Amino acid sequence: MAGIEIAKVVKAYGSVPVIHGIDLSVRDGEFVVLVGPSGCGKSTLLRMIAGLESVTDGTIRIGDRVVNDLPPRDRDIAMVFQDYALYPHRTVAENVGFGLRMRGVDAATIARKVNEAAEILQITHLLDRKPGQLSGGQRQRVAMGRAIVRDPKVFLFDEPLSNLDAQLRAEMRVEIKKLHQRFGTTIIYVTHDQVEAMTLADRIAILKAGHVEQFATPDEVYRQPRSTFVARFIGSPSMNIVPARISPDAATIALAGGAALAAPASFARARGRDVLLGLRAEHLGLAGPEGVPARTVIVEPLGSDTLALMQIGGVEMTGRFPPSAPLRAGGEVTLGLDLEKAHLFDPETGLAIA
Amino acid sequence: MSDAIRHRLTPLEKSERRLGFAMLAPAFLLLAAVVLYPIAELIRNSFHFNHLAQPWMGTPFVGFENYVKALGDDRFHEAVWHTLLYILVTVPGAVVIGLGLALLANQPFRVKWPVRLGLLLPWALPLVFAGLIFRWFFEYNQGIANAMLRGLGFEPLNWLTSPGLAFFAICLAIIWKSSSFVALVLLAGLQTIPKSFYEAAEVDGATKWQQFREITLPMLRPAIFVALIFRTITAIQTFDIPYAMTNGGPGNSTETLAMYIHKTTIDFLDLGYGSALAVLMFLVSAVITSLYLRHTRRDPGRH
Amino acid sequence: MTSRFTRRMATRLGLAAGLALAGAAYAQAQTTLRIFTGGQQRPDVMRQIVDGYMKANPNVKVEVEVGGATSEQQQQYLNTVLASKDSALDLILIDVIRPAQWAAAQWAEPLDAYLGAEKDAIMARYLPAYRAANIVNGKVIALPYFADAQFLYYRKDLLEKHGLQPPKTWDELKDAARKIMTAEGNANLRGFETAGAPIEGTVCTYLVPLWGSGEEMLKDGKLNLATAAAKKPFELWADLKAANVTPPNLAEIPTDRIRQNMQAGNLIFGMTWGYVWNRLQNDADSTVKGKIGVVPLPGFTADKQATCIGGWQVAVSAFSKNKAEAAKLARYLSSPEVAKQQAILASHLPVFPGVYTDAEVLKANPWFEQALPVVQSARARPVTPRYTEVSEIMRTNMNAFLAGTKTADQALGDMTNRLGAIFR
Repeated sequence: MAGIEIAKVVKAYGSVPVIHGIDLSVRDGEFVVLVGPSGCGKSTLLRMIAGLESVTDGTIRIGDRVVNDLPPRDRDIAMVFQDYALYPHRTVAENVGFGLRMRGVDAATIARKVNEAAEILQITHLLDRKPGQLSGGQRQRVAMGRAIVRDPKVFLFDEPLSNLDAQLRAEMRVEIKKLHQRFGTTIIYVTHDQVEAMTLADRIAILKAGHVEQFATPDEVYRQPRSTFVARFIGSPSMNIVPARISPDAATIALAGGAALAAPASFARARGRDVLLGLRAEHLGLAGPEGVPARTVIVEPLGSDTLALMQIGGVEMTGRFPPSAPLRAGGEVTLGLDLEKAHLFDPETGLAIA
Repeated sequence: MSDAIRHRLTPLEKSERRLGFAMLAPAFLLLAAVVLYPIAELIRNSFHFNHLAQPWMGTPFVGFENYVKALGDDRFHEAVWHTLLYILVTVPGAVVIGLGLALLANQPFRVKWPVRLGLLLPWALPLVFAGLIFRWFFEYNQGIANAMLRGLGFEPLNWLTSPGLAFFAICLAIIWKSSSFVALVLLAGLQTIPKSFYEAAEVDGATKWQQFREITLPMLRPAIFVALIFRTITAIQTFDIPYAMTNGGPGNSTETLAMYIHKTTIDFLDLGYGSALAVLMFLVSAVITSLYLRHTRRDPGRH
Repeated sequence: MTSRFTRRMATRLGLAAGLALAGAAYAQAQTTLRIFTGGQQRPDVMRQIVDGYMKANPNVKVEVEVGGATSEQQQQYLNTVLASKDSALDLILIDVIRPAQWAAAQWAEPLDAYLGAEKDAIMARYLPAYRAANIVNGKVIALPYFADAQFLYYRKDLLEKHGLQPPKTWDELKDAARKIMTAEGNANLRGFETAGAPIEGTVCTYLVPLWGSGEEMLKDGKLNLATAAAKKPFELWADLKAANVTPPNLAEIPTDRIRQNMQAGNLIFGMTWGYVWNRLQNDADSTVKGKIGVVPLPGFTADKQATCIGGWQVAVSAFSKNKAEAAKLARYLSSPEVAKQQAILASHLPVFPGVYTDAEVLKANPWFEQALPVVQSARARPVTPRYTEVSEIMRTNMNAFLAGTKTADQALGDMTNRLGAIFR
């Protein structure tokens, strides 16, 4: 087992840079998720760790070895690919044991390790089949079996669940988490799905256009997003972010479109400034007559709770309400906004105002 | 077929089936005119005496006489043997070289056109032209092959006038000419193999050679098989290249079955015997093709 | 509006009708003849000749179609055209070995009717060998266009330099070649070449020494190869090969390669046909202009010299739609004037004895004086409708022997067996 040190790593294709100097320190045994929209460089970074892409500049260390110039086979890693990369002409057992066979491990050991892995992943009954005869979820398990059978220092996952339907995805998330708990091996996991990131990760690295926007625990990126980008990317529904202005005495905050609210004391840090006010859906609630008047635009009942898009003055915000809340589209309500929990961002840079 | 299995057609299906036959009819008639009729005529001719240089003999029915003659004709036996040798050498040869070319062309070159051109050129070149090029190449006096030998301080060789060397030279020309077709078929096959297969193998610790054996070769099997069938069928008909390079010489030592048929019919004007030889060649083709097909049926696709 | 339209329409119709009429009249007056010639029979000269004919006969248009370089290539093409009774060709230039086959296949229109009462007189003017070759079973199958025979071409300059006379026997040739090759020390210089590739010319490579030893291949229509003389050609060529006088690749040498090698200055002696003289003297890239001599081929003894007859004939296709006009053109092409023209322009040997001594002809071809007796004594290859098969058997066995893949006994044995099946 080993940690991973990524220092000032740059990747350029010709003269086009796609990764602009990333620093990332992954602890031994940690589960780190790289997340971001497509084109942010998360897969490229993973492939550089795997050795499938060269490193233009900077260093990557696995354990205490600089691996920049090591071929993938010498990095002691295992990788699960988005399309699983199972060989159609080989049985499940042969696929799982492929890496061991390539490294010249004797047949008896291979058989034993393949059986162990198959038991862990509950695919023992599939060992004699060919991948073409398996369902998507079964293939996913085989691909994981192929990775764990080698007992590597680091597991790399490249969007492994993106080809599965929602239900299977949830199931497999649990499986992967169980595996990590069982083996405690360092995992780097790439996804574009923030739910996977939040549920799986010890720490999340949110990537944007080739650099790390924020690298922190799920709790931290949720509660203290470093920027509007992170704030919008993490959490569902997305954080409400609306333009606002804090009065010079920091007593009130005026939302675009007129509504003026009493500002909590902490807003003094941005007195007299134009800001972006960030407020999560759960920090909106129905209030008595003293609340802010709003009109219900759309109601989305989810069962456990209900989301509703509200028009407050000139801005729209989504709120999360108990299922029993008396909401109907077009209805007038008064809302309470929990501004103590609100975030302030600089409208120019998008960064949080500390 | 029992009634339980037989599917009773609804009126709509019946009318669709009629439409289907009607739409196939023109193609079938054309096929009949350009393929079936000539084959029927060939078979009919093979049972007659028909020698244009001896028109006074007429064209009497002679039964199996032409076939009996072929069975006792040493030159026919030799031509069949030479043809088999060409198949045995040039079919695997073209597949091996073609595979190499396909692997080369599949590399991520920055500029692709020289590779593609190099691949397509032999394929696009007419066969006779390829034969002439290689004839010049192996010519005793001015040929490049002997110029190289002389340059290296060796005695020049009689490439085209000693049977073994001539066979070798012809095989080389055929392989050069046909391997690009094989390469094109295999290149198409290579491009269907996902890149992740190799990356996964790379991570798993497979060497390049192991990747080739464990992934490329098994994944290419269907394409290799297609290439083998096509190459074998064309090899049975080998004509142009030995015709241009040696015209069957020295003596008849490089003469193929197709060349002997051509000589018998076009040069000697012996249409009856030539037709019988052509029918025999057709049978050889049919047997080899059916062997291949049986193999495919026994060993259906990989997936 | 209407009237103007009608008027314009009428004008157009009138114009069209006039053009059509003119076209019809033109077509009536014009006969188009298509003549086929081989690439090596100087189609350029043929074009000059027919240009003259067209000037004299404005109602005839002659197109020249040029076929393959060798006699076999041409015949392969013609076999397919004529076997399908195609009328596209009106006149065809054919090799002297073919009239019997063409007569049998009924591809050539017999010309007797077109020659009429003059037939005998006309035929009497030709060299006897050509008269004989073109009359099959009493019918005139074609008219001779030009004669040919094989000669010994030699490097006059080299022979003079080394004080040698042109050889009269094969032994003299061998000695002369060896002496010159040794003295010159030029690795590219070869002693002697004759056709050895599996082509028509190689038939003569067998026949010339056979005749030279006083035997015939056929006697009374029966094969006559069980003689000691039948082996002589093999012994001769083996002897010259052993002496390194012939090159190791003799088996890949076709007819025209001999000319090319001679023209490049790499050959002392060549056994080849009449057309070569003109090329050696006149081609821009010839390195041997004025250095070439031509004499009759050597024999085993100086008094028994033999050569193969060659030459080309004009036949009228049996499928032509303009046979009368075609026969007229054939007679013109086979006239002494055209023979003289060919002799001067292409050094084609005339089929009329008188033309050999024409002053202008001799000026262009001083060696024609010696050529006449050669042509007069030249012999014909076996006459049979199945000549292509006969030729193929002889040349492939000869070729196999020259390549060293068959011994003399094997080659002669195979040849005898397969020829025996034809001359039963």
